[in-house]
Amino acid sequence: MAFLQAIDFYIFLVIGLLSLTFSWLAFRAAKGAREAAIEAGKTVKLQTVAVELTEISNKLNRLDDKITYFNARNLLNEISSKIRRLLSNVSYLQDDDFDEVSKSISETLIKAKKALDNVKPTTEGIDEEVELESVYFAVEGFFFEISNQLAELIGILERKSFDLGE
Amino acid sequence: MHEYVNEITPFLDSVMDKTVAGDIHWKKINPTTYYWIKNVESGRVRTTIQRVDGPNGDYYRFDVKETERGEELISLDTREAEDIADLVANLYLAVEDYAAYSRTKRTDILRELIEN
Repeated sequence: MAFLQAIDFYIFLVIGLLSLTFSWLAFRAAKGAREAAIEAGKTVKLQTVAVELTEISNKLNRLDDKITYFNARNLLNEISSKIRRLLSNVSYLQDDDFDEVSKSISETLIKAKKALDNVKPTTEGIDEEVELESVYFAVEGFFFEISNQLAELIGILERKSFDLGE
Repeated sequence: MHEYVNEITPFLDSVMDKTVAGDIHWKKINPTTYYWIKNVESGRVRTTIQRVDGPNGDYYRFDVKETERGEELISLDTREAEDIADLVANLYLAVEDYAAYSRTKRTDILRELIEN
């Protein structure tokens, strides 16, 4: 055990231990940075989804009172797929309010589709104004409802985004 | 009781009677909306009835409009006009019966034409 009495051994031992300590500290810092980056990513994602939902809500609020059945169907299909995609983008959220409002929106979208089916034109050569009015009245209540539910959802996302950012 | 009840009820009763008698030619434009048009001295009047399946339940819309000037003569929403909601709902059922009967009658006439 002659090496135990050699000064070089202790110098290298100290250097080795210091290296290990710095490596561990670097690992800890990298892990912390990674977690911070993930949380920041989640916050950005929540904000992006909130912005896109706001755009949908604004679109619904500007519903044309002369909308045709086919335009209403296209609009409903478009917002339906967009909302479902956006909700699945933030499905990692663990929040009872979010789950509840998401479920309500899905149900309203299904009901709106049924209401629209009720004004699908069955006769040609009919009074165009009556047709347009019937479509508007069939969907406006649902679009108003969806818009309100989206506003609620946006509020929840903003709150969660704030919580993550802290 | 609202003011409009005394004003509109006789009109609704009359439309109901004429519908049951088959004197009004209601046109179905989609599964929940019917209308008829009548030319009167002052212009062309269009009457529409629609069942709306809203997010908070069904209601009926009854609308009478002078088409040339676009003047609304009656514009009813049974969520607000509760006093006559039943009357409008019954009229809607009568209109549905009329449309179903007209369809059957048309089929019968066509069948008769084929057979003879």
